[in-house]
Parts: sequence; structure tokens; C-alpha cells
Amino acid sequence: MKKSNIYIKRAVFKTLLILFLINGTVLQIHAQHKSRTILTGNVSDAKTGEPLIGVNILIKGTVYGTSTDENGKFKIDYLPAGTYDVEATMIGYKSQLKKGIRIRIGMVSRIEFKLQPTVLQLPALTITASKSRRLIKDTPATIDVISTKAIQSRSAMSLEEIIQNTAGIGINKGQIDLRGSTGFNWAAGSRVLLMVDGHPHISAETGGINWDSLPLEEVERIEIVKGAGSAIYGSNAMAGMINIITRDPSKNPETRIKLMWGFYDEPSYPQWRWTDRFLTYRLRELHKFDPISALSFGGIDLSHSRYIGSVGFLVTAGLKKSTGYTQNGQYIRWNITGKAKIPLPQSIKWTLSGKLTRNDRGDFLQWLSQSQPMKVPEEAIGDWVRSDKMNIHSTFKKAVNKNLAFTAKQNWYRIYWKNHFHDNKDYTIADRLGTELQADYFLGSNSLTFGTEITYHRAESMMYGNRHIYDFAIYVEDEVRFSPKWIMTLGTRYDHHTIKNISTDHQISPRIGLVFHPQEKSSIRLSAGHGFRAPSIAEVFANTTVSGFRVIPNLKLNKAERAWSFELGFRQSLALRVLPSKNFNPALMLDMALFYSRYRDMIDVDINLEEMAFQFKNLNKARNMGFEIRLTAAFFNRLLSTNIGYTYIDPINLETGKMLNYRSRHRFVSGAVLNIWRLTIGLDYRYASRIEEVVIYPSDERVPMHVVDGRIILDLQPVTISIEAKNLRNYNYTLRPRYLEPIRHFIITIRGKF
Amino acid sequence: MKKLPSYIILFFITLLACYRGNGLSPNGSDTNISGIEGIITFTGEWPDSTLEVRVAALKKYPAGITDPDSLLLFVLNAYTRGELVFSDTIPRFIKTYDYTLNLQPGKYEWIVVVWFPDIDDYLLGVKELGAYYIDPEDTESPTPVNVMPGVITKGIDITTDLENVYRDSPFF
Repeated sequence: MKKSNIYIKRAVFKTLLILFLINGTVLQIHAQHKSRTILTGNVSDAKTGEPLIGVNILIKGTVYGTSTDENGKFKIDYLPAGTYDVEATMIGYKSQLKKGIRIRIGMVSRIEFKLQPTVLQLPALTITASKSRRLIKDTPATIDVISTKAIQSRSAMSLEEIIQNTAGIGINKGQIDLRGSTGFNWAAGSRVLLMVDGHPHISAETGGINWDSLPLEEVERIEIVKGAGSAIYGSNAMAGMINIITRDPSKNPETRIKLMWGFYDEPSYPQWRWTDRFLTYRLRELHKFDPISALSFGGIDLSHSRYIGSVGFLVTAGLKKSTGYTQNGQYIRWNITGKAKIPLPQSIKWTLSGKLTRNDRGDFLQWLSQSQPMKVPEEAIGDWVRSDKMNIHSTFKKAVNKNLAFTAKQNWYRIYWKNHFHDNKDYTIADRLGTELQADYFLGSNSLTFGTEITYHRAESMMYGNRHIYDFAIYVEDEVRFSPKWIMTLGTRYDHHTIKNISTDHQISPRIGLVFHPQEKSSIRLSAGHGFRAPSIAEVFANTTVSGFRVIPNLKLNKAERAWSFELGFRQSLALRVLPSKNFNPALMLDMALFYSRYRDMIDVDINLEEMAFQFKNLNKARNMGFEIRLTAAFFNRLLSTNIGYTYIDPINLETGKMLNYRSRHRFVSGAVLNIWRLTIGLDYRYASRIEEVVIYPSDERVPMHVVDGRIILDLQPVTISIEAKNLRNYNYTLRPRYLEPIRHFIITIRGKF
Repeated sequence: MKKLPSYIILFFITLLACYRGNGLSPNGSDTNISGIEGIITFTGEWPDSTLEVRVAALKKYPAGITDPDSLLLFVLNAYTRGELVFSDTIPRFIKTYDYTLNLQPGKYEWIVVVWFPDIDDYLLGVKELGAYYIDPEDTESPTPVNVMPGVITKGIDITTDLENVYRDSPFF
């Protein structure tokens, strides 16, 4: 082993330890004793007078900010004395700026905001694009935000069911395909960095995403940033980032309960029935219509939130169970989640959260045949997997003065799984430990973010052996406001990646972005960035065989895949005046983007013909280009809201000239929501064109995806009842080899908040 | 412009209505089969009592089992579990034959050419003609073959010895 590697590993370990132990202390060293100031206030709807929850309060030009509680109130302590401009922003409301607010020592300053509702419900802020709070309109990237309301209006057993309704996004066996970035790689590696409250949620061994271990009931909103993000987030963020932001504990004691029950419909063809538990509608056999004993699924989630003294708590427990619609489709999973907000001395804010998940699920690798697509081969009946996951996140925040704030994060993500297959008993224990220290510095027209990050991955496994990966990074990014019309973002990150006893690699990932506002409601954005993804333990070391799928290691897979990405985008908000009443006029938001990525050493699965096995390899060169159009519209004072997104991609393997595997050239999503009285009626439609290139079974029939979901929600505060039908047309399609995607199913959900 | 909302609603309805069919159906093909192929070379003279010859693929090799009753039980068990697959009949009295055998993906420890005699109780007279060895000089135990999903593994060549049909087989 090279001497330099040993030094680097020692340095990594020491720094990791030091940062874990003294993150809090670092913050305290910088803390300054000041006499207390208080800025407080409340925010309400200008029309109804109702308090608004979750309004972002920004002290302009400083690191300070907060959001309103369930009573519409906010409070900011220890603001240095002075005069400030304070802005309140919220999705669905016009931002309001109060200038010249004077803060004096020993005084309580109060402000009252009355926000005017807008026709279009567009988000204003993102905390994902630059690891710090930024205005979406000033960010040189395409950003989608899924709001609490949108999340709660859908009855989902996991978050992927919600995210897949976003323009340009497909999810295939848990892997996120963002604008054609990823095909189907048997869940190994992700080119989109998934985070929970800014903490990476990527498994240590596969580098993939485990959706069953993500929060669902605690989610406040989901931010999706498209485009290269390695300049600030490093590996995995080469195509984009998804940040799941969880809600904070409520000031008043609050209990929420969600009950879900659903059942699968009859398959389209009688010969596909593999059990008597499918529904029947035949008139002569009406006595057999029995949804209770049909193939079904359901779940219960119970959460409680309150403050005890100055510490806020949020605890959730959930149980979900399904028979599945196929053989081996069953699962039972439970989870316990906790989040605490703890104020520490000297106004340090500490957030500690954790989650435990257990999932026992059947394994459906591939169907028996297309004439029996819901059955597995006889020898595979009864194959199942046990998996346990645990993650702990800790975040310390400290505003040192009005210009400087520190954030220190630590996270631990542990996975254990074991196959109980007829021919495979592999198991893995994997840990991902990370720590990060970040500083945000506001000075004049500059908003500077810089920091350092250390990550350690470990896997102990039958199929990988005992493996260790060490990552170290430093990053810096600056947003410069030349004028209200011109904003530039400039940043870079250095990453050092070591696979113990195999290889060492390093990357420099610069990024530049420019935003121009020709008018108040329009913007043009331009960005160029370098992204990379280091190979995961699974991609390098996997050595296993399951039902004929033999995977062999590739110790030569020592290069990270890299890409230069470019985007040119245009965004325009428009209020049309076609009706006499101003409130009933339609409002539109149009967003268009052209994108181009050129990859080197792209990692993809391939067949090793000499060994007759699958192997992950570095392809030489590939490129992806395309465009995306999104249109959001609202009519008749929000009575009807619609959204449309179309994405065209052209991803090519430049060595073979063929399209990259498992990609759809065209994707289209649309949704319409009609609000009448206490009723909400929603309809979603997702389309993806036929997958053109595959690795195995090239002659299998493949069809485009057409999925229609419908829902009716009745809001009887504090209880909400919804009925949802998914895959309403009972359309049959595959996204991965020989796996029939879910057939039509119905869900009844009851939510209560007390 | 005044009719814009109506146009958008119409657009949705059109989108939902414009596609037909249910997608995949049982009549569709998943003919992209997995399996093995190779050349069988027959050496020696064909016995006149040859009823037929087939290629068989077994998931397990009965290593260490020599007792005929135990072997028969092993073969029957393998057959009922779907772990023994036979090819179609191979033409008789030829010197070489290009064969293809469709198999479910998986590991097959024994690829063997089986001879069936033209007698009343022909099952009792079934013999092994030869098996697949990656090194024909090393016939200590057959070479396992991994069948990949959607891939026909080529080069599974087998050399048989028709002169040894009458010897006692460790199998069948």
C-alpha cells in the first residue's frame, strides 16, 4: 500500500473522530455572548385572516431565518441590534417584504404579515440547490417542489409512488431515472443523491436507495433539483438531488393517525390468475365478490408531537402489510421514527432524528412466462428477504453573528439484509458514517457556502467480502448578486475517494451558473457543472448467483464515472386577463430547459461473455441530451389546477451508437385537481415510451407505459377520507426484465389530526 | 384565448382517451430463451439397438452416488422438481450434431448425452454416452454450466463414445 494512502486514511479517521466529538464544541467556541434581542410576529392570510403555518421568515442579507408554527407565529432570538429588512414567503402566497425593522437590545420587536394568496401555488425557496436557503427564481437549476398537500393527497405505501409523478422522473426497482440519467442496474448505484433533511440516504454497499426506510408521514415537502450537483454534494449528485424535508415538532400537542386499506383488482386475463383470492365481477358468480379476502394491503401510522419544556418531540410508529399481487409479492414492514429539536446553550439549535425499519418481503426476480406473469418459477416459490435498517441524523446549527452561521451534521445509516432463497443465502451488514461541517457567510451581495465532509463506508458480506471505502471532501460556493437582475453562482468541490487495498481516486467538480431576470416574472438560467459518481462496493465486489443471474466482481472498476452537464432554461409566470373578475383569471407558469451531459467512464452493467456472468464496467463514452417543458396552470380562483410535463431524451452510448439501456425516449406526466366544496378530485397520467435497448431478453415484448391514477378526497376537518384508484385502466407493462408492474388497485385512506 | 381552460381540459380528456389496449397480453412473446448449444461428436459405431439419443441437463451432479437404486431415485426426484431437462431426439447414425437445449436460467452441474436402447424396458437400459468437460482430457467430474437469462451459452461441445454404450454407467 502506498504510504500516502496510509496517511490519508489516518487523517480521515482522525478528522472523523474529531468532528464527531467536537462539532458542538466548534460551534460553541464561535458563540458570542450577547444581550438578548427578540424579533417576533405572526403571519396570516390577508383574505381569511387565518394563521399561516410554515411561512418562511427571512432576515435579508443575514444568515437568520425561521418559519411560522401551527399558530402562524414566529420568533427569532439573539439577532444583533440593528435595522433589517424582513421577508415572509410561502407557497401559494405573494411574498411580503417589511423594510427598516429596528432591533434593539432588551426589546421585543413585533411584525405582522398579511399575505395575499396567489392563483398559482409555486414554491419560493429551496434549501437543496446550494445547501443553504436560496430563492428558487435565482437558482440556475430546474427545481420541482412537492408540497405537503400534494404528498398527503396521495395514498402511497412509499415515497417513490409520489415522486414518480414529477416531470422527467422515472423510478425502476427503486432507482431514480432523472432525465435519462439511469436505466436499470439491479438497484446498484444512484446518479441522483437522495437526502433526508440534507443527510445523504444512500446505502453503503449498493450505493442505491432503500425506499422502505424513508419517512412518509413526517414529510413536509420534497425538493427535486435537476442537473449536476457534485460541485457541492460530491458523488451520486451527478444528475441531481432529491431532498426529503421532514416536519418539525408542533408547538401544541398533536396526534395524527392514518389508516389505509386497499385491494388488488382482477388481472386483465383469466389465465393470469394464480390464486382464488383475485376479485371476480362475473354476474353469475357475484357471491364470490369478496374484496375483504382479496389480495390486499394496508397500514397504520400513528404519530404524536409535542414540546416538553423547550424540547420538541415527534414520534411516529407505522406498520404496513401486503399480500402483493404476484406470487412472492407479500411484505410486512414496520418502522419507528423519532425527531427531537433541542435548544442548547448560546442559541445552538440541535436536531436529532432516527428511524428503525424492518421489512420482510417476498422476492420476485422474474416471472415464469408472459402467459403466467404473476407466477415465479416453482423452485423460487417462498423465496424471501429480511432487511433491517437504522439511521440516525444529527444537525447542530449556530448563527454566530448576522453574517456567519455554522452547521454541523453527523449521520449513521446501517443496513442488514439476508436472502432466504432456494439457491442463495447471502447476507450483508453495511454502515455509512458521515460528518460534515458547513459555514454560511453573507457579505453584501455575496452568499458564500463552504465546508468539509468525511464519509466512511463499510460492508461485511458473503457476496462482497469485508470492504471499506473512505471519502474526504472540501467545497465552496458563492452566489453573487451583481444586481437584482443578474445573479451568478460559482463553486467547486474536491473529493478524495479510497477503496481500501484497491484504488484511490480524486475529483475536482466545478460549477458555474448564471440567472438573468429580464422582467419581474421571468428568468433565464444557464449552468455548466462537472459531476461524478464513485463506484459502490456492490459494483466493484459483487460475487453471487441468484436463479441463474450470476454477478462477478470487477476489481478494474476503479474509475469514477464523470460527466460535464449543461443547462439552458427559461421560466415565465403569466397572469391572463380573460375574465372580468381578477381572482377567476387563469395563471400560468412555463418552464423550459435544454440539457446536455457528456459522460466518461460511465458505469453500467454488462454481460461478460467469457465468464457468462453480469459485471459492472466502465463504458468509454456516452452522452445524453434533450429538453423538458413544464406548464403549471390554475383557473377559477384555484378551483382547477393542472400541470403538464414533457421530457425528451436522447442518451447514446458513443462507442456503439446505440441508445443507453433501459431508457424511455419520451416521458409525459400530467395532473388535474378540481376543488369543489370539501371535495378534491384528482387525476394523474404518466406516460413513458417503450424502452428501446435492454441487456437481457431483447426479444421480449415491451410496451409503453400508460398509467392513470384517480382520487377523491373528502375533507371533514379534522378527518380526511380519500378513495384512490391506481392504474385505473389496468394497463399491463414492464419496466425491468420480466416483472409486471402493479395492476389496478384501490385504496381507502382515513387521516385524522387531533 | 378566452376558451383556454376548456382547451386544457379537452387536452387532458383527449390524452386519456387516445391510447388503446391493455399493454402486455398472454399472447405476447417472451421467446428470448436461455439455454445452451454446441456440437456433439459421435465416435465409434452406432449400435443397431439404438432407440434414441438426447441431451440432458441436470442441476445437480450425483457425486458419490453409485448405487443404481439411489441413482434412479436421484434422477426421478430431479425430473419431478424440474431439475432435469431433456432435449428433443437427436437423429441417429450420424457423426456430428449441432444441438440447442432451452433451459431456465441457473447453474447446471451435468450436461450429458443419454442413449436409450430399443428394448421393452428401455428405461432400465439407459446409458450415458458422454458429458461436457471444459478440458476433454480431464474427465474427473463434469464441468458445470451457468445459463444466463436470455442468453444461449455457446460452445458446450460433447464428445461421445458409442463403443462404450454397453459398459455399466455410473448414471441411469
